Amino acid sequence: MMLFSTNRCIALLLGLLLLTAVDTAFAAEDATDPMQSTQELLPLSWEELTDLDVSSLARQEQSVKNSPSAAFVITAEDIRRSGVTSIPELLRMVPGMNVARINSWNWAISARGFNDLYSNKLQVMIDGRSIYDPLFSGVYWGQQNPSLQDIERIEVLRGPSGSLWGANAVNGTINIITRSARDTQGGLLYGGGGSEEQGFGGLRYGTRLSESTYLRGTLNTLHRDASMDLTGNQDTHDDGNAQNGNFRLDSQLSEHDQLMLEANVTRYRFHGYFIGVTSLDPLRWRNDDFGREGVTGSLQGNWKHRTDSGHNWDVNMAFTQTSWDLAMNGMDRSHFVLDFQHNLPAYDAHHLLWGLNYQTIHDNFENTLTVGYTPLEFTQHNIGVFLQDQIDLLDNLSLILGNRVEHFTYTGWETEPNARLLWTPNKQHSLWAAVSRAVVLPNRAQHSIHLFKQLPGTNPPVFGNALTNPDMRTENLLAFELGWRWQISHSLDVDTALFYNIYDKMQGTKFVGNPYTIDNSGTVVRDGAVGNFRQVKSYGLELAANYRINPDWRWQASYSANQFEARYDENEPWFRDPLTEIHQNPQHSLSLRSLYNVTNEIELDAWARYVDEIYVDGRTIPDYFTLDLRLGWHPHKDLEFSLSGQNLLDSHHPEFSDVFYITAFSQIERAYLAQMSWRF
Amino acid sequence: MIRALLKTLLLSIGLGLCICCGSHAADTNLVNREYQLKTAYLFHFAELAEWPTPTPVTICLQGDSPLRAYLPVLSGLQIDGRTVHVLLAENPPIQHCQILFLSDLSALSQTLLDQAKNNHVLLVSDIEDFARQGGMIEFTLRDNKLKLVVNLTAVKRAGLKLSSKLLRMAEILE
Repeated sequence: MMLFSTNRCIALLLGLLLLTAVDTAFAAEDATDPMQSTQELLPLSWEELTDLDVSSLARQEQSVKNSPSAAFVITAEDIRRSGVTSIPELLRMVPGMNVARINSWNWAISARGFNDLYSNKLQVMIDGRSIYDPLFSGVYWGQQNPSLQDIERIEVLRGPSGSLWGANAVNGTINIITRSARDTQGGLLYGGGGSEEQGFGGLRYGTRLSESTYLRGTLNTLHRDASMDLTGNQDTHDDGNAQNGNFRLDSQLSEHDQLMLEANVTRYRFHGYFIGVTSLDPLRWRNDDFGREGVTGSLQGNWKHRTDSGHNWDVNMAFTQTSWDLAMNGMDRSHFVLDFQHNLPAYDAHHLLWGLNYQTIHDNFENTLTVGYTPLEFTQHNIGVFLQDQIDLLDNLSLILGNRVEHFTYTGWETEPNARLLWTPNKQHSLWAAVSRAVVLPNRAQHSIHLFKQLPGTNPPVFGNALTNPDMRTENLLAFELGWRWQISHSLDVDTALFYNIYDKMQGTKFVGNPYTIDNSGTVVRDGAVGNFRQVKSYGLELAANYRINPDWRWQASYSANQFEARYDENEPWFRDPLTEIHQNPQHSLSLRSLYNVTNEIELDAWARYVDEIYVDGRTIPDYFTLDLRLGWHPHKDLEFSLSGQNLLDSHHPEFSDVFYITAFSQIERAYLAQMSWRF
Repeated sequence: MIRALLKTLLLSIGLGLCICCGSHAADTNLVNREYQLKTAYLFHFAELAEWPTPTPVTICLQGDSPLRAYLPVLSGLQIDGRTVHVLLAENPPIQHCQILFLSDLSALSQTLLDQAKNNHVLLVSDIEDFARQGGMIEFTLRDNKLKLVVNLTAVKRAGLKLSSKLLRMAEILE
């Protein structure tokens, strides 16, 4: 079924444009009208109100929310009232995000489609430090377990922002921003347990070191139960635990200088089954607990310098050391990043911003017969420069031109330009349009992996042998976007985004050569190679709406629709589904949240979600409709209790699968959870 | 490498960014929402405070504060089924007020404190040291955010209760 034809798309757009062009009902208002400007604040909840800055530069008012891109912010209040305990679950409220849980610790998360366990088009950062894994250009979400209580907000940008954030910020960028040490003074103890999150807890303490220097530390731990197997009678042995320690120092060095230092260490142990090869001749393998354990440590710093003449310098540095072990291979990696940004004072109608970045990644592997990397050790150096100019064409019309040029060890020079236009005819409407180019880099895995394992569902077993492709090129995206934000009334706003993306040189994996046998028992082996074999087009629509009935009751809805077309040679023997994008991404998804204050001390929150059916690993995963509920209670100003239930509408349902890497097919269970937090 | 970088830089400047000579226009266009926020806070106080007897909420303003221009926006609004009234008389009769905002510290006399206590009036101000001097809720500015200082003893003495939601955000004077 076609969701909407291109023609209909264009007609719809023209309609929208026409509507705003003829919309003269709203005369431009005087922003200084006291009654009018106060009225806007009245529908806000107490928490939203207390979060607002008193004064701000008109230009900095341009928060993520009124930037010329598809942006969404998850606030600390949204986090607290969602009742969930991990970052991936929070992302389900963002329109345009595909979030599917594979099992207890593994997720498939992407923006605007291309969802997979190893999806490679999302840049994810914590306080500006990238947490995405250069081995496969994706994020091991299970390894990211910061204390949610420390998060101030999560900014999600859908669409490419490569000229600002570099390669792999292709379909979206997520920045998780933690609270300043100044805002987390004193103590916090929290904990909880339930049927799936069996036990978790954390302790935070913040202290003041001097007049303008603050320090805080947080330790947290969690233990998670296994998920349900296909039959619904047994679990899939994928339980595990993780601990995280985080220290942050914030200091106002002088009137002009601000320093932030952060150290984070995390360890985890997940269980899970995998088929590993133990001998080549004769060919032997075993199915065993090949879970993952590892430690990641990072140190990062950010120095901001502001001059009286309006220059802003920003220096960001991050060093991350990662090491993990599986029964079938191990890795140690050092990752160093240095970023510099300089905002120039306005010059006529121009606001210039430029920057430099350098990163080096050094890794080294332990190989086994199942998985290995050649060479064992490798170092990448990537260096880039970007420049952006925001030109105020008129009072309410600005043009942003930007470009980033980067040099990568794997592919040489790449360029990621973009042009954006933002028009704000009045306070009710803002419209934006963008054309951008972004690239997905080939990764260490594509360049050097050796993977030898049984192909799922083959009996007698056929083994797949993945070949590397040192000539792998970047996947290139050309993206066209349109957006419209409409403040219908003080209590209702709608944010719409449309996109049309053309991905060239998309990766695909196909069989090469003929099947062959490698031992006397006649086990068949097939070689598979990855390459830039396909072209994919995607288009879609995203809607987000907020309705504040009164300060005690807020509704938030988000809807996304997505369609794909793939072009590839149908005569080739494809190793992985060449229609992956079409099959693995839901055409529609919907999230509807209600945040209701029953009294000043009691909160009742509900969250309903719908995700359309998908088709993965030759299996249909039916569409599902589910509901979360949360009841919160504040018996005392420093104490909070909450009870929540997740996925309440069925006892279990599957959301995704990747049997090539995770052999057991898992279902996500209904879950109950009790939590408390105490400030001291 | 350096040469390549320079080339790159020139290339990106050649994108068509012509930087014309012009005057230096600094962005001094500050948007200040201090009184809009204080007005909205007062609206929420009516909900987050509990009076011994539920009545319509009258918010009074004593003295000469810029708030005078903003408060009327609250007039006639409903809070939990109670109507909000705004009294802007120069010296409002305190027995008619549920919330009284004071513009100057000189007005905070022992007489007024006693009257507030006996009439269950929530005293609010943005004068420094107001809470320490016996007032109930004081607005202060910290890190560009509005913060509250609450004199809980004075609040309790007047027979009023403040919700934990409000106290969570406040610095409490013991």
